Amino acid sequence: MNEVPASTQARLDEMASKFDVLAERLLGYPTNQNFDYSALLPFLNYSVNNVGDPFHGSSFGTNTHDIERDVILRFASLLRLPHDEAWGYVTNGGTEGNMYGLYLGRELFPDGIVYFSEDTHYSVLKITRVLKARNIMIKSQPNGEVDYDDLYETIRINRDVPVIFMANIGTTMKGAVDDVARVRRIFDDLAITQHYIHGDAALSGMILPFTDDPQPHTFADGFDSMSISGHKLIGAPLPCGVALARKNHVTRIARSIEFLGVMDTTLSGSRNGFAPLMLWLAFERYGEEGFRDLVAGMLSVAAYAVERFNSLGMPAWRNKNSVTVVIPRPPPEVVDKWQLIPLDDIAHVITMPHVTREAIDQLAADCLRAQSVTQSA
Amino acid sequence: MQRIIIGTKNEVGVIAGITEALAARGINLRSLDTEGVGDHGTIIITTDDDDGALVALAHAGYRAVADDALIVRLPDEPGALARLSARFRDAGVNIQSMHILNRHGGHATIALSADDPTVAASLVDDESLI
Repeated sequence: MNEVPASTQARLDEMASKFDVLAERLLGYPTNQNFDYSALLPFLNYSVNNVGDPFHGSSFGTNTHDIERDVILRFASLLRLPHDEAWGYVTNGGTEGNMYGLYLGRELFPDGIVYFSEDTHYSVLKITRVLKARNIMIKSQPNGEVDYDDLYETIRINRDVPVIFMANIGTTMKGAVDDVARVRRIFDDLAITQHYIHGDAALSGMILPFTDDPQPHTFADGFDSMSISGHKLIGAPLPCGVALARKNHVTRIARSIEFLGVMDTTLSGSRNGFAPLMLWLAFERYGEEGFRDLVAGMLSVAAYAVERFNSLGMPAWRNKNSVTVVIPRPPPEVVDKWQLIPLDDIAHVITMPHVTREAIDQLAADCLRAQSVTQSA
Repeated sequence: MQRIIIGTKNEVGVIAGITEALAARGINLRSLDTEGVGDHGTIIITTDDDDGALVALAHAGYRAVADDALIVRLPDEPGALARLSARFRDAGVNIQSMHILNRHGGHATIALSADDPTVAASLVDDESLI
């Protein structure tokens, strides 16, 4: 390749400067900005491709399948999935993980109906459309959890049809966790024997394992598959995630496609081999105690944010074990400045590790100033 | 060209918000119709870029669906969705999808599609908004 032309370098420098400013004011998106992956820079000199099933090898030599398996099994341990029952792969993000989970559910129960709450991530609508899966959206409660009474009644009406339930382990806007223990009781009460539960644990899948009193969020609680993001709490600088599933489900599907002569169990063919390195390095450097400290710090700042906003007369709240703080929707200039995500009358702040108490103070001051300007106008 | 249906609150500035979201992505509105009931409303538009409009509206925080959906208004109360499901089950019509567009003022606006659109339309005739 040629040398980088001066004009090209100038454009890159300009973008980096812009990112420096923006990164400090990222309060609405759940991406951890505190990271250092410089130890992995040498691997950008190789074409690293994890094509194929990480548990079945590949003829593409410069792969990181062994690291990928290690990563999958670490997530399995966190989420109480025995290693000999675990299967998974590193995805390009939470949406692929959710698509994989619902794909498994749909393959196991082709006639099943996918149920999900109205607070579920918007990509699930797209996924059900791609999979051509029947689907019914269920009302949410004000805190973002699924409305269990409505779920019960709707399943009861369709009790002869298998249930594929898409559970939120931390909703996008409110950080609410659907109670799968209660969902399983609904299955029992209605004698639903054919069911599948997928968990969208994009952010909270790496929070709840490190809390003292977590809501049900593990395979031991009845999940069949889960999707966790790597670029959120872990802080991988490139979008990535993990699809994790019970191996017996995947094996049943794999049998039906064996005639192809390959174990084509992943949604993507060529896959990012750099992403497993980032996740693995984070696990190595943080360790369990490091993650526990990280989560404790985030929850502490979240509690501070709720207290700070409320003390200034702006009602704020959060769900149990959540770092998502719901605040009244600020005006557009404040939303833009702090890169918040508004929806209807609310917005949220997500207290990721780079979000300091000082940043919360500044945001609260901006909101208060905007509120007083609006009132005086 | 498809009709795009948007469930919103019935308040000042909603149409401006929608047109701004479309204009920001260079999408031209070809028609716009509104249906207001109480404090919530339904806006039906056509544009020169169906897919782009759906993306723009979703990014701007609106719930929008394309033409093939039936739009019904139900009381926002426990079991209302289930009762609607029961009508389809009793008629032998499979619901393909059922989504909540909005919930305001004691009512919910629902978008649904079924494997037999003609029968489906007759099943919700009394509660259909469009």
